[in-house]
Amino acid sequence: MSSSTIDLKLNIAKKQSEVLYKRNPSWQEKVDNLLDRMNILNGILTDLHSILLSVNFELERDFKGFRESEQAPKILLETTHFISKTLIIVRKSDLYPGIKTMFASLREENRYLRELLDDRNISIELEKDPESDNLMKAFIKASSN
Amino acid sequence: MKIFCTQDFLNKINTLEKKNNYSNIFEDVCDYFSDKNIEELHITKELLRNSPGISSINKYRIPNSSIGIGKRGSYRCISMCNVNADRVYIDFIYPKTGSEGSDNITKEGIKKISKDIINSINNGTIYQIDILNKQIIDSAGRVISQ
Repeated sequence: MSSSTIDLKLNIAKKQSEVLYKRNPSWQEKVDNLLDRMNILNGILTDLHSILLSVNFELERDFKGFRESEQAPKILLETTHFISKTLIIVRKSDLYPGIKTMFASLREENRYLRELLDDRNISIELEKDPESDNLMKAFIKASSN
Repeated sequence: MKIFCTQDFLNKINTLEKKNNYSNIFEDVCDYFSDKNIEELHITKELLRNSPGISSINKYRIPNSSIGIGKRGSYRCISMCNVNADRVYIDFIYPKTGSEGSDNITKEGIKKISKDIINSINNGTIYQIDILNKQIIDSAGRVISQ
């Protein structure tokens, strides 16, 4: 292959590449691209939010089961931990300003479930604590008069 | 059902009422308890300690009407229930967010609250909350706050 043929092929490839992968997209294309990415991310956060709402609904329906379950707290811990990590990444991304509302809803639900998990752990610790037993008895005695 | 509170609770209410974001705190507390009975308050999702059918320690989430709806804006209120006596005792309330926001309460914190309530009852420094009229009444039957 002659050098002129190679030059010709390279020029064709370059032109095709510019058409397919525009190196300098217009302002409008940049905005459209950003909006597309924001919509996709918003959709992901909405899905995660739906999962947490479903978990919360199940806890509401059977909180006694949640207190007694061994697996549920582990799963909840992993889920909320994963979402916390996701939120940190999203918070640092250039897309954050566009998805603030959904971000806040997801973070609120996530924090709420983490708090429930903490409360469950405190509750279990208190049940094993002899001082807490005595306090409950003292409370009944004092408040029954 | 009767609702009682400690001096610590009153102090906290007085402090928070002065802030714009918590100015309706006492009304919010009264509204929360106004449509509930002892069975509903005895065992909740945020139960911290329980002797079934007898007594319990709960964390109630009381919506903050000054901020708006949502769990984030709720106050956390730690209370003890005596089911047979049909009484609820409140000692500690705190907002989760904002300038006066606090972290989640610990096991030792719960025990301290229990002791405060027991000591307040035994010392006679306990106040009744008249939910209907949104008043606080001392042990001598005097209205001390409206």
